[in-house]
Amino acid sequence: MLIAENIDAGYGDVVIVHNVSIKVGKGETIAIVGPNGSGKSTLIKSLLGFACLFRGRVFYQGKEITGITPDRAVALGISYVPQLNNVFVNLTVAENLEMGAYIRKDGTVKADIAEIYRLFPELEARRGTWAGNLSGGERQMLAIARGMMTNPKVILLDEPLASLSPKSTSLILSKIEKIRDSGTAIVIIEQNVKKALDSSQRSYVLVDGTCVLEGDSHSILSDETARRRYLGLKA
Amino acid sequence: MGERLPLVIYFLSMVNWAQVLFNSSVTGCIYLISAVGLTLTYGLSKFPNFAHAEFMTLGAYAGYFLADQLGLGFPSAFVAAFIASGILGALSYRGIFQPLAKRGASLIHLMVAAIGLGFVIRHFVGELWGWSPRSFKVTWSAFDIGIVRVSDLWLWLIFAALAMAGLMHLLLTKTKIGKAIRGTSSNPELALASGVNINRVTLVTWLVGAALAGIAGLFRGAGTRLSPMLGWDILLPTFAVTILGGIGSFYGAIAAAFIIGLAENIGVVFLTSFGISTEYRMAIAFLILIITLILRPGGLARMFR
Repeated sequence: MLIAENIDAGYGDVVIVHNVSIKVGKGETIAIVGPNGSGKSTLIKSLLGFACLFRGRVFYQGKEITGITPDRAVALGISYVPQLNNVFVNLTVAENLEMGAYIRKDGTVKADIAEIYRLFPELEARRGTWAGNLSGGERQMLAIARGMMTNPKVILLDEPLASLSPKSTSLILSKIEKIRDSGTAIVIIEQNVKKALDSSQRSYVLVDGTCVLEGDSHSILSDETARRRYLGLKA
Repeated sequence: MGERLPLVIYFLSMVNWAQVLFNSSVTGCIYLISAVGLTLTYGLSKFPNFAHAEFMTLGAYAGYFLADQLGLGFPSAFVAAFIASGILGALSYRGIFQPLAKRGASLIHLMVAAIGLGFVIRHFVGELWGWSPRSFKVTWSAFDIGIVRVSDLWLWLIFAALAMAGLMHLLLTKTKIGKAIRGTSSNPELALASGVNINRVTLVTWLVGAALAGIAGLFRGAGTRLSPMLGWDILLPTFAVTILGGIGSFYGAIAAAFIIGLAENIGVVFLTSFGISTEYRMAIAFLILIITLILRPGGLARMFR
């Protein structure tokens, strides 16, 4: 579905990501994990035009989309949920969802909002609230819900679990599972290695901008060397 | 000072406070209409557009040209002000500020460009219509409502401000482009990730904001006199409204416009009662501007979104 080959990416003149290739298939969840500053976000952002793509090629549904702009990417069905500032704080919950559907011209937006409220009943209860007044967990839900409103075929979630309480973390993870079950491909960027690997089929481990390990999430999790050397987990 | 105090108290007790309140809303209405465009373009383009002053000036003169010089009557002045300033605003964004921002211009570059643009327009107006003040031919009838002296121009102004506030509220909350204006102003990256064409949204905002500035300039010109400095003279209070209201916040601007209108008019009463020149009224807006920046740099926006 989404394939990135030999990506070099960064900001300005600074190259942060070196020669990384990733792919995600239909209905698949992949995780990109690694320590802070390893280039996870930069990699994803460069595919959509939020960061500079210096080298490499990007394909989506068999077509090359290298160097695409963010608004074009959304129109094609690639949705991106940033880690920070991921809601419109001065809009209500309902308006945030409408903004998610900004580019859509089909008549099913209302039905989709109803569907989103079924998936996130917590948000329906707060539909008229300013997004800036939501709790951390609610805010993250809204961010993902807004990302879903673009009607994506693949959704890229940048650290959806960052700074969430354990309760909100499991809530968000269950929502992500439901989104996957609906057939949307998911790319999760996470520092919470265990949770990310647990909820994905395949994973990429990034260290200092290069991919040091990739493969089946469960085998990576059960590989003692990988756990010790890259994941910071106990053997 | 001490011996003056009884005089001051006597003076203050003689003031028609209902009139002060009415005058405050008149001042507030002009500031509101002029500040809406400034705060919205500031919120989207992230720089203070000093040429906003000249959007007001041009609106006033365009209205004067149609109404008096071509003799089409005062109502035509509104159309002329709205269209002329709107086009000027859109052209300024498309022709100057958007290309500059695209080439990576910093806040300072954009500000200096805006000051330069304002200068050019001001002198253009000065060359076309001359530097000596002019007045609209039309005269306004003044009459009393209870103990308050009003003129029909001021009633029209209040009506225009209310209509503008209502229409802007509908635009910003009920239409797709309006929500996009608010969303883009607070979070441009997320707007982009939602597929918003930011350039178009910004262009529409510049067009509408400048058109409203033209209307504000027209009212100012009709209420006082036309001069190439017309917009520049009320730019400072307009900025004070923008900052106090919170940059980019339309609702904050409504509250701020009336707070500053009130402060100015009450301030004038006190200045007069202490025998100080009312020339200092501009200092009141400036004082509020500074106090806001020190105490609450985000302005009132958090209260109003």
